[in-house]
Amino acid sequence: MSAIEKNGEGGAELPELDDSDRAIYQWQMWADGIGETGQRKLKAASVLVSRIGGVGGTVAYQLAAAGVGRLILAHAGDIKPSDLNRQLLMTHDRIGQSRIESAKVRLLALNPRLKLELHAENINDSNADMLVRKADVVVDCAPLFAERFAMNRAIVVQGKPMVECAMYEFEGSLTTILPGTTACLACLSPVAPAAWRREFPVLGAVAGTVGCLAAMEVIKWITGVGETLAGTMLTMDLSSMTFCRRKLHRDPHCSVCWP
Amino acid sequence: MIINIRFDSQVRRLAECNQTSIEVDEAASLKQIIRCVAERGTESLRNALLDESQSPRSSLLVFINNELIAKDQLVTLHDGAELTLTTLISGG
Repeated sequence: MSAIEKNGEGGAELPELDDSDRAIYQWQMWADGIGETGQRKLKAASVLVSRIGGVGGTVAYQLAAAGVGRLILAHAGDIKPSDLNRQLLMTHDRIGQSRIESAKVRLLALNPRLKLELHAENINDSNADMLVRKADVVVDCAPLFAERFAMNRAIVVQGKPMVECAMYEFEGSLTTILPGTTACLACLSPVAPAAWRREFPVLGAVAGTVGCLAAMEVIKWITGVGETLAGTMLTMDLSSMTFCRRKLHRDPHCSVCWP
Repeated sequence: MIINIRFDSQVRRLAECNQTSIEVDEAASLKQIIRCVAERGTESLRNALLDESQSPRSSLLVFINNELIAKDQLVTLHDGAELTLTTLISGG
């Protein structure tokens, strides 16, 4: 059951669609299982996206296009030239300016009905709880494990679902964490891998692919359509177009999620 | 028996190959298999797979036939089994 369903029976408390919504999402509502109820669930949803770079920016853009009602975005810093091969919410004319402000302009140009809550800071132990509390579902796209672990702790405490997605060079990985049910991030890796470095090889098309898949996980969770990757990690190597589903298990010694 | 080892993500880069095969005793533990792979690899690969006590790192992910396996788990491997060694990635 998605968080949106918990809010009301039979969609009674879901927001109504107006004529503009129906005009924009008409073709989307034809998708099996979406319909008007699914679209209203999307409109009712609040999604937190940690970092809006190559992966997270694509997630945010796809969710804005799909009609998610409210996005909470967290990303510090100003646009650098090296962002522009993948961070599609950033533009060349805004180099040196705030990333989060550039994202605001791009997202509202696509969907002016979108409610945005912008935080020009990255996730850390101090702000994770507060930001997660605002959202129905979280998408973790941070390049630093410290940010990912902080987010993981917060979603476990609050019992919120989190789409965990990442890329490296030609590879991507994706899973949906349901606290208490599936492995959390710390079950998989209690510490950062020794070899991980802040700067990593990245193609925009790889980051964008992972971002689109992560957005689809969010849409499925909100609407209840299809099956999410809960308990399964999808890995992909786009250099050979090899996709693999791997079964995950909780760690009974996990210091974060095991009671 | 022969175990096919597949490397993914950063481990693949450190191993400088996509996959390899090793021959081990049928009674070999997972830890022994990982040590065997590490000993045959580059220093960077050894550092990625093993900690200072020569035990598999807690951040190492081990999949057998695409199912996550705890590194201290007693497993029975069969000739030709595929074991994947990888770590989480964090690029966003």
